[in-house]
Amino acid sequence: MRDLFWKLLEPEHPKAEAFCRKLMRNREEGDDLYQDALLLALRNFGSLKDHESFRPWLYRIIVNGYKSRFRRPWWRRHATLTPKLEETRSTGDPDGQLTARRWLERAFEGLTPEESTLVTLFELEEWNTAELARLYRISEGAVRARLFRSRRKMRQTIDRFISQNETSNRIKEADYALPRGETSSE
Amino acid sequence: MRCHEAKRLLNEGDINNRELVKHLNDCSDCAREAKAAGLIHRSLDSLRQQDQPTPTPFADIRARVESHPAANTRKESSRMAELTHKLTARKKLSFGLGLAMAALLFFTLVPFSYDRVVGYDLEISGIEPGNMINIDPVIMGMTGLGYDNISISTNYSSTETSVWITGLPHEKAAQEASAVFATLTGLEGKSEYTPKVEAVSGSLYAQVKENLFSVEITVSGETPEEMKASVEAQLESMGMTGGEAVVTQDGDQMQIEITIPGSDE
Repeated sequence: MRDLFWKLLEPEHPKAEAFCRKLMRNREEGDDLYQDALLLALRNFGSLKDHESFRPWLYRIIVNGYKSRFRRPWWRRHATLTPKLEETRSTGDPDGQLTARRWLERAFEGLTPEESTLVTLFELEEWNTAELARLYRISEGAVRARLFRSRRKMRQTIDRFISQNETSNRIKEADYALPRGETSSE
Repeated sequence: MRCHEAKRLLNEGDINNRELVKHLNDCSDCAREAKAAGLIHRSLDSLRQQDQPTPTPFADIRARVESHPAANTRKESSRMAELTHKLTARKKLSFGLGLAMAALLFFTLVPFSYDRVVGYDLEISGIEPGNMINIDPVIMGMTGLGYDNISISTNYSSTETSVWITGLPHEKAAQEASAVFATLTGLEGKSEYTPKVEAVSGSLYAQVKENLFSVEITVSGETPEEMKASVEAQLESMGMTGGEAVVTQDGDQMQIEITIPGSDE
């Protein structure tokens, strides 16, 4: 049974591990999340009847593990979820990737853990709505609605941040300096 | 273009739409949101192009997980923990159960004011005037039928005599009181009984329970006719005059149909 688990995991391993790192926005914490998810998955593998569903089943364990990390008492919720954000400010960032990550971290702050996983899977891991519907056990329409709401929340979070900081003149033009994509409007 | 439409296009990533660009020149709110959308869009593009960090070698992760103490012990979970886990995983089911629980509590606990029939009063009017009525035999007759708490009052006038019998527990008692009065006094009048209603407070469950009644049926050793007589006698004793039971037997199967006047059942 265990051999079958590892056999099914092997093709998923690189992407699943990368997904955990992206979710936690930190390699060490991502690896912790991944290891915890694998331990849980291995212990409960016997309960998986349909081995064709191994991928959504594994990702569901990861997503639940991620959500449970943010399930904490209300008096601790105000604490910054991503303290490493500020650490990247003073370092050089020639290709703009740290800046990009910083903007995304800000945008993700407006999302619930569930919305964060959804956006990460859709935008960065390139899952389609059918795969997401299977993972979350909801309809494709519901996935599209959640994505719509999540994107709107991300825009509003960034918009609020820019407004506040432009007012207090704390953001420099250089902070917007991101590599331009081909589809950019600016 | 309206802001609503502009925001929809921004959400869909259609940020080069000509109408949208025109709208953004005129609307500072949407322009700010477009700026945010552009930042997010480019940030996502940038991260997609980023080189993926080298994954941990599969053999390493396997060895690390397999050697972990937790990998070799199945977590003990109580029935309650399993139930909680299942309910957490199935939000619709939890919502349904919560709703059912709320409905049950509402049904059994929340009080409502409603009217309840607590007895019947009988008025016998239009009795020929002139004679004093001896009510003692009527009281004795009703007591003999098991109605101990009745009271009788009379009103004499030049045109007619009226009698009121109160404290009758149900409609059948009122009918019996009318018959007992006519038989024992030899006087005739117009009998009219009215329900005595009292406002009470109770849950919906209590209201339903009050309207329930039970009938005991002995199946073994009784013929269908005896069962029918037994059911009808019980219905009559509960004041359901005219209640009818139909007992039909088909081999080993027996069917009992009870009809109560004024009810569709």
